[in-house]
Amino acid sequence: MVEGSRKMVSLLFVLSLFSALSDAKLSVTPTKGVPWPMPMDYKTTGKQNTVDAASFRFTTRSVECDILLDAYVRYREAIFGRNADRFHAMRQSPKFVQMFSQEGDIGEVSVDVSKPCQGSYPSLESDESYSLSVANGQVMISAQEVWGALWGLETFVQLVYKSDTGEYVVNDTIISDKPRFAHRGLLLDTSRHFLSTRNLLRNLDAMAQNKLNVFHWHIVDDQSFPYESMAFPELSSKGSYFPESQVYTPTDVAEVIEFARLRGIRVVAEFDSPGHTQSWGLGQKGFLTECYSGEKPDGSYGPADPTLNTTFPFLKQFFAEVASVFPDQYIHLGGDEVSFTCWQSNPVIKDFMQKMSYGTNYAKLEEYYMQNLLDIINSLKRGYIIWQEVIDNGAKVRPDTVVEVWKGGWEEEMEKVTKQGYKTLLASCWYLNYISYGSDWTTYYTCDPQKFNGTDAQKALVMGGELTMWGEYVDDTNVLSRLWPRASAVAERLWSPQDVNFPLVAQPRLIEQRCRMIRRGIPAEPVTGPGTCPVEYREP
Amino acid sequence: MNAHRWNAVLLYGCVSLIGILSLGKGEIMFIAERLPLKGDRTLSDVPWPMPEKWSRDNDTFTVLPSSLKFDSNTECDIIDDAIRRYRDVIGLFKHDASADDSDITKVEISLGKGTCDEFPYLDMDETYTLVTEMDKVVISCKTVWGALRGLETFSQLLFEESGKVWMRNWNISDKPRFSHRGFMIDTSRHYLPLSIIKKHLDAMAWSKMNVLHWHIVDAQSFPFVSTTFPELSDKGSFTPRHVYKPEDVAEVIGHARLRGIRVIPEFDTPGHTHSWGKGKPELLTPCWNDGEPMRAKYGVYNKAENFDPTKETTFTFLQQLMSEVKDVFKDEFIHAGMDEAHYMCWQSSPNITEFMEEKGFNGSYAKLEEYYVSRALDVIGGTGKNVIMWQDPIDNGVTVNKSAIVEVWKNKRSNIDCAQNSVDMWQEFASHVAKSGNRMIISSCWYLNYLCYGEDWRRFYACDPHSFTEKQSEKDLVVGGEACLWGEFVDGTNFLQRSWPRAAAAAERLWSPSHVTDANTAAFRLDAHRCRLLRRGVPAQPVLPGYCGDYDYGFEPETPSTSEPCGTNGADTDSVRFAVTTKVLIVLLSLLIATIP
Repeated sequence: MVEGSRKMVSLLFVLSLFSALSDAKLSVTPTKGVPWPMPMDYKTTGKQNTVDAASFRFTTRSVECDILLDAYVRYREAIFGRNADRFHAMRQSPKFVQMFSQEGDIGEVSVDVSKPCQGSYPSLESDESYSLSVANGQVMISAQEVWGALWGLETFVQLVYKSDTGEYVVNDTIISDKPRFAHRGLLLDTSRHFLSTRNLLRNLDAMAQNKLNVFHWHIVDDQSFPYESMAFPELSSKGSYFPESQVYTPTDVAEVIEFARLRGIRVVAEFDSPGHTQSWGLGQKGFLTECYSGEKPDGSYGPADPTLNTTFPFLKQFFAEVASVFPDQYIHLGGDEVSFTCWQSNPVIKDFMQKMSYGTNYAKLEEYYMQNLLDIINSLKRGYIIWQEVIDNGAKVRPDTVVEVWKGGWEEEMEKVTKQGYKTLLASCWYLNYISYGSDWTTYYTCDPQKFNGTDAQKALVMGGELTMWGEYVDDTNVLSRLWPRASAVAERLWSPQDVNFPLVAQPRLIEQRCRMIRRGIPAEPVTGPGTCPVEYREP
Repeated sequence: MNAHRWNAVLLYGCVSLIGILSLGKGEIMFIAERLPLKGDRTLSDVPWPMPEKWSRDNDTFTVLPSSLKFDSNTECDIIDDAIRRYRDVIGLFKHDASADDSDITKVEISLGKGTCDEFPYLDMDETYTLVTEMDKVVISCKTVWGALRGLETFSQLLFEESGKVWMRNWNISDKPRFSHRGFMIDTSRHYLPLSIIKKHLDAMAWSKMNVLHWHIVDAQSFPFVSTTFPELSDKGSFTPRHVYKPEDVAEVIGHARLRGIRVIPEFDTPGHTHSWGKGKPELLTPCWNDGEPMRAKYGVYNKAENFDPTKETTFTFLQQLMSEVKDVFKDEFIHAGMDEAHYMCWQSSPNITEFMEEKGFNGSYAKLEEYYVSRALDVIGGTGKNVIMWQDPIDNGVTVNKSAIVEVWKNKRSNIDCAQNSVDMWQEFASHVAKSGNRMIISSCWYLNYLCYGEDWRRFYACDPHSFTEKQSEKDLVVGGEACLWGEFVDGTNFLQRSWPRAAAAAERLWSPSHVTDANTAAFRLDAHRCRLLRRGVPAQPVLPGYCGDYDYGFEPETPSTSEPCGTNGADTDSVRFAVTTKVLIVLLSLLIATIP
């Protein structure tokens, strides 16, 4: 029945879409007050409840905590605009309510969370389910954990829309919701171009508006090392583009992690090695392999040098710091695209290869490096996420390792990785840095991460996926507009039921979502053709 | 003075060692492929677009932006405003304002004719020379327009190093290769706020582009507020806030004029006119389906489409609207559109058939189109303006008046073909127009709305508007080109990012000599130019991995700029209204509280 009503809503969308098309080419009527991503079970009627702006408040029924209190402030602002906060106290005064309260049905949203949540940090095992009901002026959000309550609040805010007469209204609605996948990630690359902390925070806001829950922070790479390490400050003072302004200080990193935590978002840091490490070499002499041209070093450097007795002690100390800075249970270790040409040129490496009886199989050397690194992370009691090459090259990894598939031919790779019993994430379909003309969101929308040959047990190992915005052509000028709402398409794929997958049906809702994001301060670009938003974007 | 020189030479030695790159304040890199970037990096401090003739030597001079004098031998508001602007622009360079003295103390602007034109025009003289002398920079030119280009070049020659601002010893003699260097914006598919349009005009001037082709209305919306026919925007705009009122249009024209940029409006007819029909339904041809008028045929035509050429009232209306438009817009040209007048709706209508029989068109819809085109062009010609139009009527065999400039826009390469070896294929269209002897504008290869991953500016850079012919007489027909950013997927959120610095590739092609074609070398200058745009407040997107010195987009400028604050068009009226309401309530509340004993 409930399932049926979601389909009924979809059918209505299609009908309204076609009627719109026959009237004026290229214009699609957006939805009003319909959430993105689509909840698992969503039942709604046309019966409107008005929101009583004067008396409106969120109340916690059970356990109160920092996460809920912070969310209430944010979501009040999300409904009523930027000035909501300043005047909130005044609006709460009984005299004010008495004298100026317009008759409204909804004055309170009750939030009921079963488990204590003070100071909690989200994890891959978080329970993100919630239920939400709006009926007869009563709004109730219930969840086992605070993470579900956060998504319930986000959904509620998306149900609010402005009626034709300008009032805030919510239709009677019953929602029972939980994500299809536990890991719904977004990768930003802060090495190819620096991204300001301010924009990282804005992006976390946008992620929360789409129920994405993992910020995969590809924080360093060949081009620059903006992470300021307390143990090895020279890594950023020499390896960043501009140490005065283009680094993430410990304070910045802590701010990002806390901002994310309050939104139910995990921050998974990636320190990619042994390849993609040119910038490390600037501040950590002797870490990279010297490349040879004939008998002599030619001045250039290759991947990390696994043969030196300083390499692993350095990594141990460095990652111990990383584990203390980033509270997440997982660290992303990279491990992709290791080029062997430099290793092949270096006589010391050649000797080492011989000593280890690797012959000329440099994949063995790579495996040796990764194995040592994995042992270090093991000793730090952290799990790891790695790019697919590590598995492809045959390294032995912990059973709870998450393998991220990013190359083409992902269906075969997912089949292979899950057959070996590893949890996996899909990124191949969602390289949003590759831009093309027009509505490319539909291709992201229709890629299903479980569409590969495998048993149910194998499919159950798919933890979700990640969209990536590699930074070669992206910086503060265009990162947000290029991401949103294209990333919203991925967000719905990873949250909503598998059968919510028809772009034409989603389009009116995506238009509403883009305009909603613009109203909430995110410069989400137009992706569905000509049109307008009630409120246009303005630089904050 | 000699001592100064000697210091400067010594310092140059350091500068050249530590910071050729910082001259342009940009650093692009491409480590991922483990390849050094090709091209000549040492030219990265040469202006964008590359001047026609230039030389420089190793002498460097200090410049103190805060006390630099600008002298002009001509009274002119355009010069005065430019001096004010460039004072701000060069003030952005980090320097110690209390430094006691500088080598260069003055910029002398010497106008040959000593006249002050009111508005820029086609074939205006933009020539200038710029010479560094002992203690001053001299810009000589024939018109104010040349002075503007010279000042822009001057601002690009400065660089900061060790807390001071410097320039090298330059000798530049410059003029544009083409006189029409345009950018087309589309405010119908999405609305663009005034603040964005003005910032865009700034970026155009900083890239020496000189025509804003304003595709102001189209099928999707009619944001132009006509005082003669207010119902056009009342009913045809997206919302009452998504409009350009007369004062908005005047503001754009004024902003452009001061920067030597012409504003040419496009009122596209007879196709692309759906939004006109909302305010004036009688303008459109009723389409027929199943034996009845005003019936759409899904996927083929709407219920009404294309201006109705059978009615005299259509031309009377056009005449009235154009006589308003000719006063609102100051340029001598009006763009009349005339593209994609699809015949299907006309073909469905018995009224049209009857009309064609009367006129003896013998079933030729091209003749009908020709009838409309010539009548419409007569109307515009009657206002005293000249016409620009898209190539379509020529393609359809319509005879077009020789005075009209034809804009070539078609390209046989697929819009989504991003293969490295694919080439633009527009030359046959240009040849065809050349046969008719009309002057033309090339835009086919500069459709910025089509995207390819990575350095797609190289495609725009590679396109030469003369490449369709070997004949000088045909080359002479090309007045220039235009970068076009159609609005289907662009609005205030991404317009400037998508335009810049990609449009700058077209800007250099249209300004610099034809032999300036080495994209690898240009990449360093383009990166420096993008960082310059960034520094001046335009969110130009990156060219390759890298950074812009100590500055990045969004960093607070250390010197307040005097550019205008954002217009109210993008304002969040929700919160504005909320704030206003709340203020009223506070007043009421305090009054009430005061009355409570």
